[in-house]
Amino acid sequence: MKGVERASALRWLHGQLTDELVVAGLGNPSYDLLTAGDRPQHFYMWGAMGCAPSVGLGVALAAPDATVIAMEGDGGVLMNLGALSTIGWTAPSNLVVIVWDNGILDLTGGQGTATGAGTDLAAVARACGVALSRRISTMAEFQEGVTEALDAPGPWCLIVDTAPTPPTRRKPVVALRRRFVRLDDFIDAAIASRRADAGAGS
Amino acid sequence: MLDALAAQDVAFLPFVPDGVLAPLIDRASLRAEFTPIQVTREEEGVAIAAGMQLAGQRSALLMQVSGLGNSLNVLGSLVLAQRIPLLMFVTERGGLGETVSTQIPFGAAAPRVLDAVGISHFDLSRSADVDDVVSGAAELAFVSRVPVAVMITARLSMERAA
Repeated sequence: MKGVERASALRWLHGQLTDELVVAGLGNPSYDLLTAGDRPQHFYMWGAMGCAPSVGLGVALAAPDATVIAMEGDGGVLMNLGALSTIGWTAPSNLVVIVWDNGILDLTGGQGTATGAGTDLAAVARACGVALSRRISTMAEFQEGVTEALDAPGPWCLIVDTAPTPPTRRKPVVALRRRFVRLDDFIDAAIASRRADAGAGS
Repeated sequence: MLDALAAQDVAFLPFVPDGVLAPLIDRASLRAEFTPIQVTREEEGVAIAAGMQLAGQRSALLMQVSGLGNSLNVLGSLVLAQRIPLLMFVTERGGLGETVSTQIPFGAAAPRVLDAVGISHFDLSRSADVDDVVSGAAELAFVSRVPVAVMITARLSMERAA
């Protein structure tokens, strides 16, 4: 199968995380992250298509000592392309944007997007000033790219060529509905990241 | 207004540039307590402000009323649906003295649109009310954890210009 299988990649990513904050965009990123495993440091979106990188930018600017991962699909990024230019402009070193690029709008019926017709989001991000922008096509590249992005100052933008979602994938809608308004643990984790740094510095 | 925001621990000011707001943002950029952040579009600003709230920091989003129109889905499906506090300052267009007729349809409808989606809004029309309205709106937004819009009316803009 061509491209990275999102659910497998998120299971691997979930195993790598320690105290990173993760903002998952609506639809597949939220479904597959929650299925991989819940953490207090997860914020799941279920609307506001295209806004996960912007929410992640807000978190990254307001919690500068935390590492923030924001995940969105290609359709969402195309819907809010200006977000990449604001990320390039503000350049938070603690933000990692992961774009699951499957070239289609998976949840509305699989209609093709402009990335399937040639729009190169890695080049777009670079042109917006996100110099550490990389296209990823295999699981090995994903693991290597994420490991580097979590280790070295960003902002990073990883555009992941994503395999089609298996038709058997289950959407954890009830679990997501219960979880997506529980924000206090995420907020506490973000605040703790600042206090930890203040303590270390004093 | 900046003193009232500082007293409420508002640190970040995401904004979309606007003539009425420009002097405020210029002054804010000179004060250490504030970090203005220019964004490309208002829905992006709502999302960034929401992210700051999720990180435990207060922000105020500054925009023209046309930007409220650009933000309706993110206000509904992020801020309202996920119960995230949000303080917005929105400059009125389409009312007294408007010379750009394209501003009228949404500008005039905006208060009813906010009512329809269930977002509290308050007019700020006199300089004498600034402290009370700003601090009251901030308390409502951040303590009661709801979105709040302060509408900076043409009357206040005229008063400040006079």
